[in-house]
Amino acid sequence: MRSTSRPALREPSYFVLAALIGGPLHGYAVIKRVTELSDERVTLAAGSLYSVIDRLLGEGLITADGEEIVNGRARRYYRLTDEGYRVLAEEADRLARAARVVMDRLPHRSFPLGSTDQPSIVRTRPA
Amino acid sequence: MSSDVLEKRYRMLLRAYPADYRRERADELIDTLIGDEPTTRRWPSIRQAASLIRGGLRVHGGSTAARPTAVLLWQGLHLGAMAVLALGVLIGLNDIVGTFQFGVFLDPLGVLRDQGIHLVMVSAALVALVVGHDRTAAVLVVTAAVVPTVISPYLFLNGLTQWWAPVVAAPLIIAGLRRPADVPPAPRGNAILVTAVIVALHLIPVEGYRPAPVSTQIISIAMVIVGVAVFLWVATADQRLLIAVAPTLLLGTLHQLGNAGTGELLRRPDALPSLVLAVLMVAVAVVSTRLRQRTRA
Repeated sequence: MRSTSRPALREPSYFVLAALIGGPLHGYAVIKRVTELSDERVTLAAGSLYSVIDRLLGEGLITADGEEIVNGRARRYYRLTDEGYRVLAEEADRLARAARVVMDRLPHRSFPLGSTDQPSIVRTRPA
Repeated sequence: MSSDVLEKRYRMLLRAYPADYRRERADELIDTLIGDEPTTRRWPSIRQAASLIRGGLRVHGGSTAARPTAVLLWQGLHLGAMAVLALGVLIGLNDIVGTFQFGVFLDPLGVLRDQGIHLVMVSAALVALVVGHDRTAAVLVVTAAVVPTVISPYLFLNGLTQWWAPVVAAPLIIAGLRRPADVPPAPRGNAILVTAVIVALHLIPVEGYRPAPVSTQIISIAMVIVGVAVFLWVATADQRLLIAVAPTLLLGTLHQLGNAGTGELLRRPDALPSLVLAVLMVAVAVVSTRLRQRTRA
């Protein structure tokens, strides 16, 4: 069965967009925020971050939002565009619905806190 | 102080990116790499270094272009033509050196006539392609496929690999003349580097797979594994390499077609298996690039 909805965001792109919800951030701050939001599961190296940023800029989901000079170097900030907000919200909704499909059907089991068997809600909850 | 050294080393790594991209983004990337925290590190971490190299390869492969598939195909054709000609020159040189080593000093003019003219003409076509004179390269490569054979059919009658190089390169170069205006040519330095990587891939001694001492076979297998792993690491980031390597893999099959039966064609790793691999690589490059375009970010 083939899904007719639009393709999903890749995970790094999803978390980069999520990192920008709070307002414009520069590259290094985006990396820190993505690590934090994903519970250290997505740790972007600089080369990977800029590959994601280039794609998001190309699709008009983010835009450059000013520069400042720090230590003699240009520091560029990025922010979400209206289209970026819309796509991120759609994706978060899709993930939430997909998570509900499983969570609603799972038998109610009690997992000890910190158990490795415990299903991670954080992993499926949109940031 | 250590931050200055680290920055210098990061800037070295940033040379993996095209010059235009570096002009636009180098400072920003350095700012992100160094971050806000004080550091005593003097060397980039392996993870950051690998990420920067792959990032640079992706940009070279057209990831930031308006039409990534067009860049992949047109630049892939150009790089494929360069690689196949470079391989032809290398094999031709090797054969001429070998001929002299085995004592054909009695007839140097004969060697020149049989192999030298072809080598000079293929080299000229390669140089024209490298310096960006594509129309001249098209004329030279067609001439290299015809004129030396008219003068001496030695390479053609023996079905030698280098004879096929201009034959395979000619349609690629001629097709490349129709490159759309919005697709830039591959930068010269990058094109030379890509060609060197592909030629190096062909220098791996796959012959060791054939009956040989165990130690030779082990070394050969190790070299193949390392070589293919490095190539795939590079080519999955810059997928133009998957297109560019295909015509060079075709040479072995064409050579075997003229010289051996179908059994040999199947058995030799540089014959039919290479051709199948070449077709697969082109398919993977085109399909994955198109899928990436369709997939959101």
